[in-house]
Amino acid sequence: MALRKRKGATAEASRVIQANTPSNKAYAGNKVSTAQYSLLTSPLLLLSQFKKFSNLFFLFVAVINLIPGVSVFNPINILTPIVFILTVGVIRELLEDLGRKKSDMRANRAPVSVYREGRLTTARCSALRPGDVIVVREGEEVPADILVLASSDVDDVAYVQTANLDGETALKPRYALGPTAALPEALLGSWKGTVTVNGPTRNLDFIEGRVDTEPEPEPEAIAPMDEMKHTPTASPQDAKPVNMQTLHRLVIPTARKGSMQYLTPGPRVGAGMQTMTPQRVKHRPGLDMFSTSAVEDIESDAGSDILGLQPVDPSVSLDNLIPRGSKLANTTDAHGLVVYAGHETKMYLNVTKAHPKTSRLDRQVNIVILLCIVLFAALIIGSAVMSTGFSYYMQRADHWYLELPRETLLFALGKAMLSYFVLYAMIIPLSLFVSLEVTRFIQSSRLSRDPAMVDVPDGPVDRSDPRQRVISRTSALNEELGYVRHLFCDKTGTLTLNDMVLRRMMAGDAVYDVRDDGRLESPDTGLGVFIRDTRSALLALAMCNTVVPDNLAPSSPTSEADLSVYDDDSVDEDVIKTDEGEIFPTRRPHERQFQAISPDEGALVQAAHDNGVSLATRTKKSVLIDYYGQERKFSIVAVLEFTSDRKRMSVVLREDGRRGFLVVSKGADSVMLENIVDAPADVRRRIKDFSEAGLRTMVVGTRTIPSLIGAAWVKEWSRVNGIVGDPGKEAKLDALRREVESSLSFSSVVGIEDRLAVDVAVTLRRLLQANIKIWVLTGDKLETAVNIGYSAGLLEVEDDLHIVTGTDEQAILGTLEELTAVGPEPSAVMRTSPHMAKKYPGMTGARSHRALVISSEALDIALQHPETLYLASQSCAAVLCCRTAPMQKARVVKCVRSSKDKPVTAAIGDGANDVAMLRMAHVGIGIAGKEGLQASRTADYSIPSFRHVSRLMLVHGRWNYRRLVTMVIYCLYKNLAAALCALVFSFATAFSAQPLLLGNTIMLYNVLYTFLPPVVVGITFTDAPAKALELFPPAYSPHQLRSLLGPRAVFTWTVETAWTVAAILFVTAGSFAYGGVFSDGTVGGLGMFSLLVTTSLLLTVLIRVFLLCGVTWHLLWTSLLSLIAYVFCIQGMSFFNQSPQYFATTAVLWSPTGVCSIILAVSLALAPAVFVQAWGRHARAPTYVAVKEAFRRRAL
Amino acid sequence: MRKPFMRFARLHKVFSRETLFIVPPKRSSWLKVRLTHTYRPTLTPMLVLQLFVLIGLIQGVLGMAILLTNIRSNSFTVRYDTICALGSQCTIPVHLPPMSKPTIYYVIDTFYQNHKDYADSVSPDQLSGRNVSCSRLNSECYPLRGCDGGVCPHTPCGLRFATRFNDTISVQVNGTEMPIDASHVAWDTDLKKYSPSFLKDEPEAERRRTIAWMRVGPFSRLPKPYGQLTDTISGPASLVVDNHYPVHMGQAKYVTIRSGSTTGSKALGWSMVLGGLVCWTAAMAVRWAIEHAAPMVVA
Repeated sequence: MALRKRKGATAEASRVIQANTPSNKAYAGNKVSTAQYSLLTSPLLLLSQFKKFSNLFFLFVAVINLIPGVSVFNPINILTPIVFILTVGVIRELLEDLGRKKSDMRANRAPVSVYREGRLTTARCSALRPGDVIVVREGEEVPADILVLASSDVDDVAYVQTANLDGETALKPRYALGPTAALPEALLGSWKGTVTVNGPTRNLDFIEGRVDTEPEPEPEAIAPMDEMKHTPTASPQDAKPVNMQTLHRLVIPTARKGSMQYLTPGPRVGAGMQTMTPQRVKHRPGLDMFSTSAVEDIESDAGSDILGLQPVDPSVSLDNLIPRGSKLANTTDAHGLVVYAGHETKMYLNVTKAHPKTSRLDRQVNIVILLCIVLFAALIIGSAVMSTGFSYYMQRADHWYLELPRETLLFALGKAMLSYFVLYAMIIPLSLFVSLEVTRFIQSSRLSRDPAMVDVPDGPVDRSDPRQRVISRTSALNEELGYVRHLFCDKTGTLTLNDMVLRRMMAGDAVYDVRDDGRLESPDTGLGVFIRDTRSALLALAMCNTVVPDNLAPSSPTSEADLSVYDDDSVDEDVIKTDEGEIFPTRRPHERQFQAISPDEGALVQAAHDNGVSLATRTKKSVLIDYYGQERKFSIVAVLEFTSDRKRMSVVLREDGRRGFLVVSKGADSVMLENIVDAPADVRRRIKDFSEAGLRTMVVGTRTIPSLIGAAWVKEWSRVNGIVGDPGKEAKLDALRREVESSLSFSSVVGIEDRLAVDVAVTLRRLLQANIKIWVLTGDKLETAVNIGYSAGLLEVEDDLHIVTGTDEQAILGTLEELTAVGPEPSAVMRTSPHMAKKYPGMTGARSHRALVISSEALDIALQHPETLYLASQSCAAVLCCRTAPMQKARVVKCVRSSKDKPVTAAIGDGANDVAMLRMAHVGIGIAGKEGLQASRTADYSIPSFRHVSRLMLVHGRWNYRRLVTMVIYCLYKNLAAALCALVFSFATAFSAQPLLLGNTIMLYNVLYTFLPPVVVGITFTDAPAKALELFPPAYSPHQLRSLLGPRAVFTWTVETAWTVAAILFVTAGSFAYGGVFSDGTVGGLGMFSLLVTTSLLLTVLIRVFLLCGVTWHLLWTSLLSLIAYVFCIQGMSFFNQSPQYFATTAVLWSPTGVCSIILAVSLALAPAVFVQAWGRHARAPTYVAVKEAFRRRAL
Repeated sequence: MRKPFMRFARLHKVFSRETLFIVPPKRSSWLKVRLTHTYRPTLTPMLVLQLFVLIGLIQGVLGMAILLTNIRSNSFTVRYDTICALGSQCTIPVHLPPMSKPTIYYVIDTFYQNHKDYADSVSPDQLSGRNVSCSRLNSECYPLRGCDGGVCPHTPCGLRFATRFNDTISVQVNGTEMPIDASHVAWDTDLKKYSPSFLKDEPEAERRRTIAWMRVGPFSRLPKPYGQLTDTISGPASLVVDNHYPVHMGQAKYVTIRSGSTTGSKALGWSMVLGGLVCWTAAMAVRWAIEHAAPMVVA
């Protein structure tokens, strides 16, 4: 029913929603349920298990085994492992679904403030329906897709952060609907307007529709007084009952294009509104800026024709929509009308299962399993043919005692195939999939508990905080970390701390260093700030930003004595003039913290604060600056925001009590210097100096504009801003921006340092030694990137930098091809191992002293030739990409991962701009840093800081890879051995599908006898200690070049398995000279033979794991446990009368024949493995030995 | 160099709290990464060398022991299906080596008693005297019918029983028949399993031989014990065989008289000794490797 409704909704063309009407039943409510199963549908849980190929396969096997003529095993023997595997699967699924149910419940029970019958009440989130009017407060998550009806904010703007939806952390403005913006909040609870919008769509950026205000609302539908207290911004005098009809008189309907258009005073022209309805219209403090100072000024200067009535736009657009899941920020509260609820919200329509990443090992395992299936099929067909042949022969030879039925050839063949299908099913390692899942889960949990990867040295770790410990979000990639070839690093926040500090500054002609306490100091004179220029430059820094100060302590009144010290000269027309004074800030102003969205702005404001010019308060309309103890108040006339195209931001201000306007502009040197008219001669050299010191440079310019011209500009600015729906609006605004941002005076150059994260150099060196190619993808400019490269140790002094800039395709390709011609850099293995050097004499050599530095526009061109770019990068020690955009980063990753070598890539980043890159790479590693948790959440692994990446990859990745490969190989080995036993024995039984291993072994071999040891291997096997791997990174690189699960490994292991089976079977058969003789003269039979073979096989398999991984206690006790379980089961089996031994197992095992054949079989089966391993360890020393040797020689 | 085997001697570690229980030690959880492994023997060449020597020694000793117990064993085999016509009684003159209390075996070669259809064609419950439904008997005794017309047969059903070996063998020395003891032909556990009514009309020896027959042999060469002579035998004797059991193309029937061994065969002893020698050769090879192959050096 619900499903049908939802289906209908997607086809819905448009919906009409009447506000505050509970009749909108046709549309889905806000109740969400993502849980897949309910109590009723829980049997489906079991069914879902058969979506997995392996489960289906074994169900098929079990069903075939039930066919009377075909049956090979007792059905119990086949069903038990399946039931075990299914139980594990169902329990896991159940736990996951319970988790979903829990989160659904949390989402559904969240309290929401909603108007019900005109009263503001609190309801459950799930009770919302389209048409409800709700109130969302600052910091709250929006519970449904709503259209903003009104906002507490000045301009009827509600700021939202949509990080949950699109990962963007920047605040987005959402505007109140035209017709409702003017309504007092008190009336919104009873507003009966209708909204017509399109049906729900997945498109996050699309909504269209229209608002129709109900012409005659009922007078009694007015919120009573007492409810008003719930709306925080409504002060009591505002909340007095308003007669709606009075209000609507203001709204003058005009007919246009058949739809109703209303004229109300526009929100941006509050002055006019105030004069018309001083009490009835919501108090809008933000508009005072214009009304009290600027606007009056404008009015006197230029008249008031911009005031008046504006047409109100009744259309609904994306600007009005706040989707579910976004957070209200910087806005006290907002009223919204629910338009889409529950599963029809944009968020839920966009919920798709994240495309799961699979590792290289997974793909290789699949290939090996495919090989198993091919072998399986071949064995079945071969055996069936043999079986039919034997039957035919024995009928001819008159083996009368068998009473062989006369069957047609096809029937006999088919029957034999089905029987062998069941008999050889062991080849497909059923338990491998379960083991992999269990092992990876425990690996992840061990990874996140690694005490060496915690970022708080002392005290308890807060497990839930990704800033403190590693979190593994995709356990399927644990081993992928073990053979990464290319690592893509973000710079800011990853290699650096994103903790900006002003380091150097040039103001006027003077250059300053910044001391550790934040004070400016001239490197030549050792003196502090005493030049007028510098002080005005600091003032400019304090003003031109969007930083909000957080005043910790109440401002202590500035004493008269202090005041007298400060020059009270103000910033005015003459601000640029050099005027030397003797001013030293004698004390630091009281402590403030600055809330900056961009850290470099924060650094500048902090620097100004440390030097006596402190930003005291900032509102939308004004800034208050503590200028050496003197308070100076500036009204903000306009803020020209920073965009990546303009690469600068400006503010237009007016100081209280003065005429004229002041423009402060700051931005990248490339754009700023063009607009500065009086830059000092050496400014470019200084900028270069700053850049080369690894600093991020910015240029600040100021300009004063006379009142008249300024007012005209402000008028024009407001007018253009007020235009609705003009496509040329942006171009006009741009022209206006250019008008004020030109012919600036030079104020200062600032050099901001982004501090390197802890141990970056060490970590990078290790990664480089591990033959991991490092790509730095930064938004910074070229010089900064190169400097960070040097200081982080990525580049060396003697490195030859190949810098690629510009847009000349031929030049770019020329440089890249020149690099390609050099040939790939020798890998770390080849650099460090004489063994490899002997093998590949031409490939040895030191690290290549080449590095590729490429700028954004050149990168765009280079990405059109991905293979060239990739090959060029191969010959370099490092690649630095500058000024890259988020999508560009992802494209670089894609270029590398889809090159012909198909190298495994990892990306590491901390910000929302890295999300695309993290998703694109094989493994995404997020750093939970200052820029929020976006990257950390979307990444596959989240680490507290960059330095942990070396341990994550070199130690854990490598460990996990070796562990899983060992486990996979071992699982294949043991299963193949068991199946081959049946094959070889078939020759002795005329291919009659007689199983050799004991019935209960078939049942419990995979799930009990040999289940734990491989899992323990997958969890604990360490071929080299963590410290050695960290100190000896080349141990990492062999796995990048050659997979441990390649054709060679598969072949060796198949040969060994065949040897094992042959040794066990022939030794045991050999000891059965007279059917196995006991001391009392009786002889054993088939049962005794299978018991001995089974025991020998199990012992061999259990001992083999020690040869693989060495003797560890965990392995020892699990193997012993498995063995005990085996003995217990073969004994206990007698009680079910299943045993062919009938209580005689002990006698069989301890008979001389038994003991001798087991010892001989096991030692013969294992001898080659032991021998090869001992030989190999000696001749081709593995890492562990190599590392030990290196330790001994103190080479590390 | 430390003695590797001393490491195994630390039994207190094997039986410590950490190894016996899954309970993790207090300081480091089982789930936590342990930075140092207290115990990490690797298969160093020297350790492997010692391992090979030890295993070779064990095998050699065991093999020698088997050979020693078989040193007095003798055996004599004669194929009789070609000498004796089916359905007739024959006396086969033989010259036996000296054997003390030898066991008489009959051997059918190329007899697929381990054929799945044959081996499965039996109703264990019926043999232990329980009541089994007719339909179950029919399915268990496939390809034979378990019962006809709903009447349960008195004799057990299935191929195993229906095709039981029915030749008789006796040994005569100087015209007197040697007594044959068939009490150790079948397993005690099997005797307990079969119901007392199973072949209660036939002689006990016959009953036991049938029970031994019913235990399926592993290979197509099928030896079954017939009984033990209670005395020492040596020199000329004659085997008296009643040849009833039909064998055909490619099959053969033998009588084997064999004495002395309770530990399998000489072959097992020899293979153990050979295994020991292989291990020692491997040890020598490892030793050679240690001395001659230069180990890899890490730059």
